[in-house]
Amino acid sequence: MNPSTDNPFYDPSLTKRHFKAKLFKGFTIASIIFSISFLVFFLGDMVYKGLPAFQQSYIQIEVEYNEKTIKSTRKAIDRKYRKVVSRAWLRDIPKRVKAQPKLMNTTQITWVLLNHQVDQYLKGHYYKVKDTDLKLIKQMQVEGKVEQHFNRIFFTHGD
Amino acid sequence: MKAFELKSRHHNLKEQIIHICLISAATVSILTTFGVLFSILFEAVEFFKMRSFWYFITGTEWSPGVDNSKFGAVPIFAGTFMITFIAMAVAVPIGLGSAIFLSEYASPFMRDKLKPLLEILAGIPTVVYGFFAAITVAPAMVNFFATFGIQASFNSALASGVVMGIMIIPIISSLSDDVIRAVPDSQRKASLGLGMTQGETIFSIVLPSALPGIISAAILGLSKALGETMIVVMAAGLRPNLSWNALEDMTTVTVRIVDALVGDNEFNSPDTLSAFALGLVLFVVTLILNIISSSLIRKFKEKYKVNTL
Repeated sequence: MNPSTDNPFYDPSLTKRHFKAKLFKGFTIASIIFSISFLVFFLGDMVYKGLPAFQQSYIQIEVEYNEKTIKSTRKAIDRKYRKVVSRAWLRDIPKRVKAQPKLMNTTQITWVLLNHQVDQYLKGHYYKVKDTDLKLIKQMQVEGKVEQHFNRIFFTHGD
Repeated sequence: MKAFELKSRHHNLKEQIIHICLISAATVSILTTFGVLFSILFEAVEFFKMRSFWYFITGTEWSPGVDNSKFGAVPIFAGTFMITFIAMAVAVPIGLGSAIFLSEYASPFMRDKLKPLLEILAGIPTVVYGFFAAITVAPAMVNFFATFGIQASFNSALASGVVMGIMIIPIISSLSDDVIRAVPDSQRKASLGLGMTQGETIFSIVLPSALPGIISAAILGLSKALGETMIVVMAAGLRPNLSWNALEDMTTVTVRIVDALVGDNEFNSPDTLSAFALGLVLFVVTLILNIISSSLIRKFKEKYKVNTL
């Protein structure tokens, strides 16, 4: 049976027109999918990149509190940790003792903030840490003495 | 009878108060516009007393802050138009496509879910878009073009243009969706009844009727793109660069305005006043765009005799 002669409603351009209509619909669907998937990607990317910043890396070490270490806060911790620990955290030692006078003349095992380079290393970003320090951190990690804690400083301190 | 008159007088008074309120509101906004225009104009005139107007619109070197500073704004306008063009090339097809899908193909349920989702895009602050462009999109583009052996800059006009386009998608889609839905259903049904496919109906019946609204949506998007600053600052750079290559860094008028006005420059120096000259040109460009769009809209309204839009 030949459709072009037997069917009076047959329109040879119909397949092409239907195809075009489909193509057009496909285009509109594609554009909405693009917009929505961009939104999802965007939000996902923001969360993925932003979330680690809500955590900071800490290390569990001994901290000495006495007259000497208050004057020269670097001496409050063992020499080998000095390159990996946050200097800002150490500088706050006198303030901490003032707030809690009973810390004076004691040695505490505390969670101490690591510096930003080590923090970046632990979060899998670009870092600049010496190999010996890296080895130390890796060992501490095995011992379970490196942890990520909630970044309270971000919300309570300006800089 | 007397009570009625009293009530009527009371009514008139209320009416008058509302009238005065509305007129003063309109006056305030008009006066503000003129105030802005004149303040820009007078400062721009100051600038053109110091520097040649001709060089400003034809010169290709923009070097403020040095002894022999030059203010040729061509690279800045070229950058603006390049980035705006890229943004519109992204926003118009995708925004319009989304609008057509939402208004013509999607079920009411889907539409109710998708439209607010799209409008989230409009609610994201441009600063966030800016660092998204700079941190995620631009490096991705550099990697993408590197696979073809093409070197792209980390501050590319393309990255900021594309992200700006995405920012404008919801503006175009939301407004176009509304106007497309306002096209009377009888027109659609008539077209379908005559044997047109749905695609043909949309393309040759619905869209032309909705065109005035779509044009105004596009113009709104365009002015948003022209005025966008933050994305460009973060993703396309500060250097005026006259180039056809969208993979290079470029800058826009708004960014140069920010750059000229921040900091502690002397107010009467040409460096600072150049911002007003740039602002004036931007103002004129937007004005011309608005005139073109309103004449286009009028033309299409006459042609398709749509009164509902």
